[in-house]
Amino acid sequence: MYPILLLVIILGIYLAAYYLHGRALLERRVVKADPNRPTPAVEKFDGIDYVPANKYVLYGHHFASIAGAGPIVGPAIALAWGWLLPLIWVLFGNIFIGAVHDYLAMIASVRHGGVSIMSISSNVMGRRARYIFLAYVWIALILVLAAFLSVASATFASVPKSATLAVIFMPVSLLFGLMVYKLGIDVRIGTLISLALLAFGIKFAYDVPLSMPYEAWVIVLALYSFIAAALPVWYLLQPRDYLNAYILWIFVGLALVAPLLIPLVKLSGPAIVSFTAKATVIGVPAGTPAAALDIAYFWPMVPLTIACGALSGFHSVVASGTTSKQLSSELDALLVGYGSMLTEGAVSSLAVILPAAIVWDFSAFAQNAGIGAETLDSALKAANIDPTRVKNILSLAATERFYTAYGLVQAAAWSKIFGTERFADLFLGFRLFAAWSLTSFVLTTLDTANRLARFAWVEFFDWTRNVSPSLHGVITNRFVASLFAVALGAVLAYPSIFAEGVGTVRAFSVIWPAFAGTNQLLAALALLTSTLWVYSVLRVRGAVSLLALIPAAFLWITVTLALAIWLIRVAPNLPFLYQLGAGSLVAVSLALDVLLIYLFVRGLLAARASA
Amino acid sequence: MKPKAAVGAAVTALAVLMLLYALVYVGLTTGSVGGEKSEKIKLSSARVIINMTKGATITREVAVPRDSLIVAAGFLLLLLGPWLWFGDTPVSVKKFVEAKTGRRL
Repeated sequence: MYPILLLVIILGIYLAAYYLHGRALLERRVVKADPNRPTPAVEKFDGIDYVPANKYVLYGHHFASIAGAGPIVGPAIALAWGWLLPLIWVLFGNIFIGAVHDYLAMIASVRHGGVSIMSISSNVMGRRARYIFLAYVWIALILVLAAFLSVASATFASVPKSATLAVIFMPVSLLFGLMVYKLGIDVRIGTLISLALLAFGIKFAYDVPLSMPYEAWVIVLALYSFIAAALPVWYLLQPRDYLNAYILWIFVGLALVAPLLIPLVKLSGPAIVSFTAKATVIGVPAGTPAAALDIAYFWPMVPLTIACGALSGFHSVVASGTTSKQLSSELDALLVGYGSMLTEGAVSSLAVILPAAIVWDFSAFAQNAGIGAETLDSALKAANIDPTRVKNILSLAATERFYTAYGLVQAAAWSKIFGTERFADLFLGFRLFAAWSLTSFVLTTLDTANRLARFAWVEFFDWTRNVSPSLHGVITNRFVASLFAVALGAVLAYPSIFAEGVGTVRAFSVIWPAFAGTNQLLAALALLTSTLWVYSVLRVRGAVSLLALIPAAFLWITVTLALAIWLIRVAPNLPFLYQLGAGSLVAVSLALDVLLIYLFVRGLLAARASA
Repeated sequence: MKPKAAVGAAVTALAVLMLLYALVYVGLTTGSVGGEKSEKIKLSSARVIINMTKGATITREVAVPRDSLIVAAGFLLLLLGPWLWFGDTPVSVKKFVEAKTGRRL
């Protein structure tokens, strides 16, 4: 198999999906998007959260918020099954489940004044479902904040150059926003100035590392998250995410160009390694007795490994949280909601899985690409990878697989132009660029997650308005509402825990193995809510209504089975600390799962009876 | 200039000066910010390890480089300063909403 053929197939599938499945079916026949219907950004404009945005700016925001490390790390871990099975899941899940899930959550929110998908559930499943759903999401967002605070702090502490770039990126974004919005400078000129400053910033960051210990970064980033989540979206969020989109396009564009430059370099990896892998593939901590279990069956466990690249519950919270409040026109939702999801799939398939499939067996890759074993070995050594020990891509850790595969493919492609003698330099440069692309979205997720937690908090306490308007004003004040989630996230990220059989780990990581399951369960529940909304509110009937119902049912069965297997087979083999943290979270999630599916069926029957 | 805007301008100026000194000046003259040779502020008991086996909490000292702390403070102040200074909703966005809704903001 040649990469160029795979590239053509993947792009063809995505193009067909966008125009046939997205535009012709979902946009025109299911939701019947209307550009003349006012959106909440306009109707409820407040200059803080409800602010209309250009669709390309919003696309950048939405993608940067939903991406994080998810579309990269998950598929990189899933290579344990081979390259074909993860690719199939990314393509299938991305189009038929993930894009439907994100798009419907966004449109449903737009039609309900910009409230979250959790609050929309009260229209179709009752108020009980709404409050359960909101509390569940708020707790999940605390976990997201803890994980991202910890990951970002650990990255900045261990790679100080990435900290310098993050610190520079923020003022450049602010400057861009002020130039365009306040000084009236043309967007193109503002973009050129900002990108030039960013290029200078990258060079500066390469020369000047910024060092600070982990604990100090946790506090600084928690303060950042608290402040940024309360600031108006036009001030920081929109300009920063607009600039983020350029990094994204360069990153994905390079992944598209590389196979064109090396069209005849064959894939060196096995399509399928096995349908069953070790439990570490589904997030079980290495070194624990559970990690040795051959329990990671491709189905139904794959959603626990590959999240954002195919589907993720967090997306529905973003789509019906920050994004739906900034949408200028219903027609923009296709590019922003559906298009961003396909772009995530493109990142997973073209920037992670395809490069890994090309370079999988290093010696075969050196031969196929005609670069010579010595050239490849010296390039790997320059990146502190021992070629005598590391023979293939699976010998590397998850993110290392991505940096290395992306860097090697780019180096092989561009050395066709700049000469094989530059291979090592090209490899190191593109490897660093891949690492920066990954970390550039971390701060975005950090403040978006806190803003979303604020929305969930405000919606959860809406009942206090009737009890005491002044109390409601205090509780839902945007600074007060931004404080609790990030404070709890910092408490989980800051300390370490030591226990026999576990060693020393960050406090949040005791619960984190359960996050993948709870996140995907959230996706299933959000898609069930959207399906019910399509059926009972939009009153869509016939074959076209199955576009939402079939993926919703398939996803719910898959995730429920995966969680049940996790609870029955994995949890008993985990150390007590993990049983207490992750195990109890999965058990609570399954209980909620059963309760919410009961409310869904009841809502569906009620909708059918009233039809 | 309104008091809020004046405070914003002062905070912005302070933040820019902090970043210029600690990030640009120190960074370019020493090759790093918060490197091994830089002055440290020692915070006792800042590292917290909860020992579940013994049921005890262990704390350790953490040394934070002074210049890195100035960069971090400048970074956070720069988020707030321009917002206080320029903080109103942009005219272009207001005009767009007014055109769409017909109501005056």
